[in-house]
Amino acid sequence: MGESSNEPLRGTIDLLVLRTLSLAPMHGWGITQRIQQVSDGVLEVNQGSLYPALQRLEQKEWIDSEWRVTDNNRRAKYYRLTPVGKRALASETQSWRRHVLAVEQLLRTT
Amino acid sequence: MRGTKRITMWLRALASRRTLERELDEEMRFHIEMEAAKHAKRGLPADEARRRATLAFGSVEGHKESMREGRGVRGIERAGFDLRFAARQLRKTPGFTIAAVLTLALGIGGNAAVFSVVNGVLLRPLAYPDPDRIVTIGHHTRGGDLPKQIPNSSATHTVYSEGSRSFEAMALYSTWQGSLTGNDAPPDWVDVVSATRSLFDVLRIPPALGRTFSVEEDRPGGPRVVILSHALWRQRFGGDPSVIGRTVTVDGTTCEIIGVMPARFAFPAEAAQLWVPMRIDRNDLSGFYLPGIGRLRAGVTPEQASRELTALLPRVATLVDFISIATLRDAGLTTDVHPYLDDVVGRVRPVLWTLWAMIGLVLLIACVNVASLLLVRAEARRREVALRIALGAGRGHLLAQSLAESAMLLLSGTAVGVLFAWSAVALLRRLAPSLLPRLGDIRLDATVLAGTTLVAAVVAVVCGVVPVAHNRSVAPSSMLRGGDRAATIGRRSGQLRQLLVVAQVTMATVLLVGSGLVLRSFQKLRAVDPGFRADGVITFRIALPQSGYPTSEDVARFHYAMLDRMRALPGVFAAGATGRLPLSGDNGEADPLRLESRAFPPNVLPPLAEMRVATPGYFEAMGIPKLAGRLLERSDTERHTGVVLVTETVVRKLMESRPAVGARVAHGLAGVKGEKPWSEVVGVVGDVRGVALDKEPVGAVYYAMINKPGVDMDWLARSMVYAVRTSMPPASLIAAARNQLAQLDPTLPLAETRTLSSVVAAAQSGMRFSMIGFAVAAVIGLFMGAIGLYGVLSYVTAQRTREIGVRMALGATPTSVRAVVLRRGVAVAGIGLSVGLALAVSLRAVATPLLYGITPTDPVTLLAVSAVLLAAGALAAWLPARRASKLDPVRALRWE
Repeated sequence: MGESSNEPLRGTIDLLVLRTLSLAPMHGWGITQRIQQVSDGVLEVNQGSLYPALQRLEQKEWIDSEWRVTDNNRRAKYYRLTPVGKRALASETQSWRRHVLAVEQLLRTT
Repeated sequence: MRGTKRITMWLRALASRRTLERELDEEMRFHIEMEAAKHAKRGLPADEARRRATLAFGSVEGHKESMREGRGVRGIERAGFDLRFAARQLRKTPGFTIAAVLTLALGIGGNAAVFSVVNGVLLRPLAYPDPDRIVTIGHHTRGGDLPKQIPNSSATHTVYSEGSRSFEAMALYSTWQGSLTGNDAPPDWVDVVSATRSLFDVLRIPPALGRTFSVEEDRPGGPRVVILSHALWRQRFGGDPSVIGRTVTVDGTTCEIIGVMPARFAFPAEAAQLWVPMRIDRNDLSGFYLPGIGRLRAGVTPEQASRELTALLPRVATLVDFISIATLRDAGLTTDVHPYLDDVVGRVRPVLWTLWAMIGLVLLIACVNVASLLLVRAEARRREVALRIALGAGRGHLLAQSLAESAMLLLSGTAVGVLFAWSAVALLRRLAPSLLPRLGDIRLDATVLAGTTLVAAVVAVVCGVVPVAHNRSVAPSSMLRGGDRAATIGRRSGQLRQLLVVAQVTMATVLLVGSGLVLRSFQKLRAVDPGFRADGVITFRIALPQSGYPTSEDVARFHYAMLDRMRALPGVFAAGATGRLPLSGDNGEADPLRLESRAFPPNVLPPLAEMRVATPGYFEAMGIPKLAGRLLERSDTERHTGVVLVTETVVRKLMESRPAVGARVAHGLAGVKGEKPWSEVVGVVGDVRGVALDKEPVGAVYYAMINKPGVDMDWLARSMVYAVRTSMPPASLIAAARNQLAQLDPTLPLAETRTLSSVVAAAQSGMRFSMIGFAVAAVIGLFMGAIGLYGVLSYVTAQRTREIGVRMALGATPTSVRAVVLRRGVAVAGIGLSVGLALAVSLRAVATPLLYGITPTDPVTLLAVSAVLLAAGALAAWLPARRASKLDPVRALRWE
């Protein structure tokens, strides 16, 4: 399991999940599908890190969850961004961009 | 806000573990199903779709486990599992569990009980403001034929309170029993305390109602007033607050009630019922018989105060003529100031500390027992532990489980123990009113429970770590291959256990020696001849008020009439009366006694002798032997001849080789106040131990109720204790006496009715208390030690079954097998015994103050203890030895 090189970088999974949830509330499986889709299959989220990440985010109160019925009438746990989460997403995105820029610069100059 | 959310989640995680688990399960199942549906949509068969989805998901249990860790309550959940696991393990072996719990309960309960006594009596401060500044004031003498400690004279008090700067206040007091009459209630016999007005400044407890004494009331000739105790106020006045300003009659004197003390005020003892002012007269100062108490200024030590007061002592000679500087010097008089608490609890302090130490030893033995029980279990579980280590269990987790098991045992043991302690304390409070001071302060309170919990926690850790430390060395590979069948394994643990048993036997030896010594002391004390025969004697007190009986003649006439009536009762052999009954807590005052034919230099004190009063018939009733001359007769009183009896000790100390009968003696120093005229000795009687059974008699002079002018005994004769030797049962004699008294004077109470045997028993009660306490500790200690020895020998024998089988197959007889096991048991007991005896002998300084009539190395005790311990060792070894000798070699060789 999890040997895929498509695994997102450690630490970015929170950002991916937050970003995904900022569009609409979604269940765990939906989140993995969405990330895969949007990244054209480049990023594949492993379940072993997804669910602990969801638990962690929920403990931080960046997201919360409720049990809802899906379109095809199944019960599923939906996660949703909280206002705190929205602010967090903004600042996380900022710091991610700074980070990427810094790495890029480093790669270019050496 | 964030914090609260986390705590609620955390609590929810603990409280609704089941719901969370179900949701987790559902969420993951949903995920897999959706994944499978996706694959199916692409045309894969349902089975294959499912397989792929499951594979892709990975280990469901693994994910779940990391989610569980994520909840942050893993440690607590695991502790819950461990505790449940431990409970299951303990339920499976009820014998072990009950043994361990009871052992711990006895150890912990005993400790809690003794600690509540120690805490209440010795550690808790007295219930007065700044109690550590309250001190007793008294005097030391050079000893010899003088008592080593004497209280105060009103003369020393006057000098001290005028000259000293060390004290905020100092007071004198004395107690007696008096009659309380009036208020349309039956006459009552009450404990009266006479005290200087400063007593309330020393103790600083304000009255609950009214006020304390004024300066006028504490002067000779001032208004007569009284303060009631809370109990007396409730009893006699129904707690009526309007009692202030009303009057009561105390010993025939009408007094105005000015105050009521609060219920917690019990000075100098619980028994005190009313307080009257002492009214010291500067023109009539007394000898040394008044107890004194003081409150030191902040920062002044008792030693400083002692020095200051001693320096003031010579001024006494300028104040009164009966104490000269020469006498002070000859008596070696110094002032002694020490904490008042020492007086309250001094008598029982060494007993209680020793008892606590002993019960501590019992707890240690209990710990060792439980630890070695757990060790045996650990031994039996080596295979299980090896298997679990092989399967990946962490040592830390194994330690946690072992601790959980001892925690369960401890919890139950402590609970049962606290129950034990609670009933023991309740029993003690009911049975021991005369044995212990401050009985009301003894209770199982928060301090005691906290102390007990602490002790239990330490015990839990010790008991829990030992078996784990023991199994630390388990190597899974060799263990699982069956290496534990070899005879050599467990050798180290065998040694450890034997060491533990030696330690137990050592401690049991110390306990047995301690209680043996006290038992022997009690025996000696019981064997002490008090100087009278107590069985068959009934005593009671009758006191005559000044109002109804103004003169000595009235007093004597009444007592003779009452005695005649008593003697006329059927079943009465003899009846007499005295002012102070021996051993009844009245400390006999002793004064210097002179002999006419022997001159003492002016600066030398003659020997002391107690001053007693007796009626004819008293010596016959008490069984005090007549040694020479004759006893007192009624005609002695009527003829006013002034004759006395002296005891053997007086003859020895004062008369030396001079003939006793016919000699003339007098109490008091020549030429000073209180000097008595000469009285003729007409007979010699045996000595009586008056103060305590373990105190040598001082010697006494018995006066007739009326001697001759100047030898007025009516202050002693006014309140007389009757002694009646009879074959009647106590209850019916007392009823008859009450009946006779009512016919003579219906206003008089019959007080202090008791048998003389109970008076003697009460005098032995202190020693009896330590004896019972020590004996209980020793018996439990011995029992636990024997069980420990038995357990180890049984286990060792069981372990050696194969070896024994081989020996028997090779021709060893059952007798020789038995001998091997027995020898081992006795050897272990022997080593423990020797170490214990050495330890006990080295502790002899601790034991000495508790003993009477024997030395701490009393050979009888040491021999008896050795015999008992070796016998217990042999008995403990006997059962395993027998079992070993009955082994069937064939089965033994197959034994695993």
